[in-house]
Amino acid sequence: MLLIKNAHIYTITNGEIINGDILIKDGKIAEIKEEIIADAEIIDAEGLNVFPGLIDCHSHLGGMNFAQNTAIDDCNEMTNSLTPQMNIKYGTDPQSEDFEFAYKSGITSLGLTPGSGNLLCGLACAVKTFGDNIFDMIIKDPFALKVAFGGNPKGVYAPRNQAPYTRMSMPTMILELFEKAKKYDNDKKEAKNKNEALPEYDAQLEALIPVLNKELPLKIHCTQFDMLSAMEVANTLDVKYSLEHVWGATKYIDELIEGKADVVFGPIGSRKTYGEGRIIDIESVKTLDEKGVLVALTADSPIIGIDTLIHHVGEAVRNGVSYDRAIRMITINAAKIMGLEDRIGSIEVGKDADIAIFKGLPGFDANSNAVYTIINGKVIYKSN
Amino acid sequence: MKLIKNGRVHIGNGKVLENTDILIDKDKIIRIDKDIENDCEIIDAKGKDIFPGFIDPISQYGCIDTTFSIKDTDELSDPITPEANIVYSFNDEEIMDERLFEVGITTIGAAPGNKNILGGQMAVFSTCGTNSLKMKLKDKVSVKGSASIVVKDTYGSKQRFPMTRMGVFTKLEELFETSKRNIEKEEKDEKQKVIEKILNKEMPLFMHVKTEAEINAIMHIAKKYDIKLVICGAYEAHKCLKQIKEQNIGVIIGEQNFLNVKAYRGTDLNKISSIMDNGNLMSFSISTDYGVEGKVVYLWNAMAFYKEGVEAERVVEMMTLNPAKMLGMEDSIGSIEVQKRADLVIYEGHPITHYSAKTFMTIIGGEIVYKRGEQNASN
Repeated sequence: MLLIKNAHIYTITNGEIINGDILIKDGKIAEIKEEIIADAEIIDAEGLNVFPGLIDCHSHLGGMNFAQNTAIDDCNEMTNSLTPQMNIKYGTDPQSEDFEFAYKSGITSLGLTPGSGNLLCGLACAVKTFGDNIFDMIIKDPFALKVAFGGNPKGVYAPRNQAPYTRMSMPTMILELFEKAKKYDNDKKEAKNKNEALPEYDAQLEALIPVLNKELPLKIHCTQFDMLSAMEVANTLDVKYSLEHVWGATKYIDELIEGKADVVFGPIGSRKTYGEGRIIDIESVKTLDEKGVLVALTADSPIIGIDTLIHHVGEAVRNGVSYDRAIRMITINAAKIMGLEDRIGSIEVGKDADIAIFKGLPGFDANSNAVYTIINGKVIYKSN
Repeated sequence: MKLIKNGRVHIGNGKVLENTDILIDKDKIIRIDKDIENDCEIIDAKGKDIFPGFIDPISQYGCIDTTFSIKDTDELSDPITPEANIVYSFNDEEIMDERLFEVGITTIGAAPGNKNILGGQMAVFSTCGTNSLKMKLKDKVSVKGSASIVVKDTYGSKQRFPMTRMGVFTKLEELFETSKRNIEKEEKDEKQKVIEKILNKEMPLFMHVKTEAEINAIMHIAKKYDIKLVICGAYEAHKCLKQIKEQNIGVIIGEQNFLNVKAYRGTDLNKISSIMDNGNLMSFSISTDYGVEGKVVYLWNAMAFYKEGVEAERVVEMMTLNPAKMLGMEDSIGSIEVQKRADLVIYEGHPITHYSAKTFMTIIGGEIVYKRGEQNASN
């Protein structure tokens, strides 16, 4: 058992406890009270701020690595633009030092996702940031199917004179494959009813069935006007979805609300360029949040460092989001987008004991630092 | 004239003056004092923090365009182009897209990129204006070169020289040795003339070097030829402290977030910053190995030093007076002092200590170029 004493607790979902204790038992949060007495290992958190472990629900850690001069990319299987069956868990190297950077920054869970080189990119998995074996780190597999609109798939396939050559063909390509999946699923069901042989197993189409059954959301890379295409496709298919990156959201607030989109905004910080990089409007998360859209933030790491997730919260704050709302964007909101709000994202009894103890307030004080990181009830990092 | 009233004035040299007024006439600061009375335009800075305009000492803004089609920073016809001059690449329209002054960056050291061993001469530009010439503050301030992996990636991959680190440094040594022997000659080409200016310390040499081995090698050559050296990128500079201090090397730490470079290199920002106690010049940049990051990242880089334990006012020095000195511009910019250029940024909150800090106003050459919530002169 582990007992965190005298902490300023940001529960996220039930307000703040100015001076309270948290008891951890069997990897879960067992009790939260003003004062707990128990025969447990004690962490004195006097003067420190206690948060649920932080979450980036859109990350490529372990799948891309720029530590060496020859960069590694194991998250874009760019030999076919439609690879929904690819699973990121097989592209992820848990030995990547990026995971260590993550938990040292208080980040305890990630939504690992394939890259955006393909139109249907593959399956995303939720993992904890600490462990030697990716299969032990997984908490939800899969949690979404990654889709990419816009310049990335085009940039890969157009030079090969293959589809998608332009944005024009993208929605149709996706819808057609889903149509095939529907038929395949029907054929399977009918074969079962009639006790006949099943159609030949098709891994590509199998991956789409949980999406059609609303068990698996789409996680759609899009910016600016591409978000309209993304929402149209998702709504045509009548499936669950979140929109990823979402640069240029300011112009499409009404459509995002009407489409009931969940939004994962980021990364920010690159210079103004052309096309998709023309506008990076972190200020849009303020309006979206106020209007009831579920918003999370992403650093899209390791394109930029995973610790910049905290800078993203800071920039939301700079742009007028209250601290309490901003910190939700890397805790409970990110958990909800992955369908994991019953396990992570807040400090509540019964949830996983993933806890980050900070000096100062991350995303408010520039010199805030993680002092302890706890995953599944174990202290995995303590700063000197 | 403009009078800024009652601000907390961060001079740029580590000192802070509370409740102080700044009087500006045309493009110059003419008086800094308490309770200045003047019947001119008043800017109320009560409770606000005033800094000298921030300086990024090595930047490609203005010399690369937003579509990435124009890259006028690397003259790849030859890895040795000291005679090239960045002035001819600087386009006011391109730098204005990023609006660097919105976070308070008022000046850049426009620099050739990291692909040539000697890439060309740097110049100093203001970040706001409608005319490249009028934005230029000083020409030929230094020579920018590179000995990092970017050079051999560029040439070696095309089976051209240099293909190795050995090639890069041997060539540099040969260049300085040859130029030294040719000083007395009557006929000199442009390359020779520029390299001579490095040898006689008219211009410092700014070199992009990342690893400990690269840093040690360039310091070795700088010592041998008695060259004024500033290292850029310098992600492993904390491993070379003794030599950096002994040779009084300037250090510009490169951008720290892109491709996670600081974390992979383990750059110890607190340790490297200790060279300032020795009198070394120290700054940082949003230049990466291959380009530049956006303006907000300038603040993230400043915060990173503070987070690792460097005092906020020390970080301010890295953003103002130190880079001004590196560029040989300390007589006109880099601190809030009488007779210096009125390049100022006024913040609500302290941008190094808190994310909630917002730019209230930016003044360049005495003109208000940005005021939060207003469309203004700069457009």
